[in-house]
Amino acid sequence: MVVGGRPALDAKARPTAAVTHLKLAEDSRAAALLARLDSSYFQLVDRLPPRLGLLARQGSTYTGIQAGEAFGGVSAMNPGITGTPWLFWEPVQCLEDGVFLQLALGGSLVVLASVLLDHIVDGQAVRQGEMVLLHQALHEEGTARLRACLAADSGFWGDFERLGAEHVAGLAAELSARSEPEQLTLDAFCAMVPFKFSPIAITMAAFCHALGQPGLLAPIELSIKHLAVASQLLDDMGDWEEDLQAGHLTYYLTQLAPPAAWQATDWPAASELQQRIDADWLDIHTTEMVLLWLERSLACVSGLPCSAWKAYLDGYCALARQHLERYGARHILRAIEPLVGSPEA
Amino acid sequence: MDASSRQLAEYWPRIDALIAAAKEDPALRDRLQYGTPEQKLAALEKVGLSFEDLVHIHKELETIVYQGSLRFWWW
Repeated sequence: MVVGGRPALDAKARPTAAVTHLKLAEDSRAAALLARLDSSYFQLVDRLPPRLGLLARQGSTYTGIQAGEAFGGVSAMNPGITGTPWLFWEPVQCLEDGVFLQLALGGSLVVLASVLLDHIVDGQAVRQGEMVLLHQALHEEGTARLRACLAADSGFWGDFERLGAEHVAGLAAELSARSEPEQLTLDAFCAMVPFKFSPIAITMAAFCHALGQPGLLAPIELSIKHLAVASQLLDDMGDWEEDLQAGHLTYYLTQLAPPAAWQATDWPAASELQQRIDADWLDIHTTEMVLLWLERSLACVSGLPCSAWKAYLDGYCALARQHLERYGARHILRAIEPLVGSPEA
Repeated sequence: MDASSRQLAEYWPRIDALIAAAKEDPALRDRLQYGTPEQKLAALEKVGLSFEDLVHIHKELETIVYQGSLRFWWW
C-alpha cells in the first residue's frame, strides 16, 4: 500500500464522518426504525432502578470520557458498534418491523453491556459498582429480547455462547498482556483484538439466524473482526500519548520501546518514543497495516450485497490514507525545514 | 481546486515517490532526516525535487500536517 494515487489533496476533507455516523435517507423505513430503536432504549432505561437509569442516560458511561454530555441514544454510537443491521441493510431489510426492532435492540443492549465490561476491566469505569449492575441489566434485557425472537433450539444460541466466550477470552488476554508486555506480539494482538469485537457479531448472528441464513454470518463476522484489528491499530496510534500518560499499554506502544521499558516503574518519556517513531517511520508502517486489515475486511464481504458496510469500510480506508499523507508530509517537512530555513526548524 | 492545491498536486507524485523510497530504505531515510544539507538535497534530487521546489511545497506540506484533527471517537 502506498500513499500515491491522490495527486490533489483537499486539506479540509474530513473523512471521519463516514466512520462515525449512519447516512440514512430522511423519511426512509431505515431512519424510522433507527428512531424507534432509540426510543425503545430510553423506555427501557426509564424502567431501570433510578441510579442505573441515570447512568444509562450519560454519554460518559459508554464513551469513558467524563464530558458531562447526555447519551444521545443507540444511534449516537459509532454505527460499527450498534448500527450493524443498518450497515448490512440489504440482506436484513426483509424482516418485518417488529422482529427487526426486537433483534436490533437485543443486539444493541448486549453490545452496550460489552462496552461497559471493557471499561470495567480496563479500569476506566468511574462508578464501578453501578457499572457492573448496569452491565448485568443491559445484558439480561438484551438476551431476553433475542430470546423472544429466536427459539431455544435455534443455532443462534451456539453462536451467542461462542461469541460471548470469545469476548471474555479477549479481555482476559488483554489484561495478561498489559502485565506481561513481552506477550503483546503482533500475532497475540491480532488474535486478541477480534475477540473484543465478538459481541458486535452477536447482533448480526441473530439477524442471520432469524433470516434462516446462518451461512451469511461467517463472512460478516470475519469482516467485523478484521475491522477490529484495523480500528484498534488506528485508535492506539492516534492515542499513544494519552495511553502513555494513563499507563495503558497498547501494542503500538510496545513497538516504540522494548518490553523491559514497560515493566520498569517509570515508563519512557514521550519525547523518547516520538524519536523512535520519527527514526523508523512507525506511524507510516502501522497505518499501512491498518489499510491491509481494512482490505481484508472488504474482501470478506465482496460477494455480499451490503453497500452501507462497504461504504463504511471505504470511509475507514479514506481516513487511513489521510493519516498516511499527513505522516509522510510531516516526515518530509521535518527533513526539509532546516534547508528552507523555516523558523520551526 | 485552489492555487495551493494545484501546486501540491504538481509536486505530490515526487513527494510520494520519495516517501515510498525512504520507507523501504533505512539508509535513505537516515540521510533525509539526519544527513547534511548536501545529503538531503541529493536524496531529494533523486526524485526530481530541487531546492527551489522545496520552497514552493513547504507551505503546502505545513497545511497537510497542521490541518484539523483526524482523530475520531470509536465508541
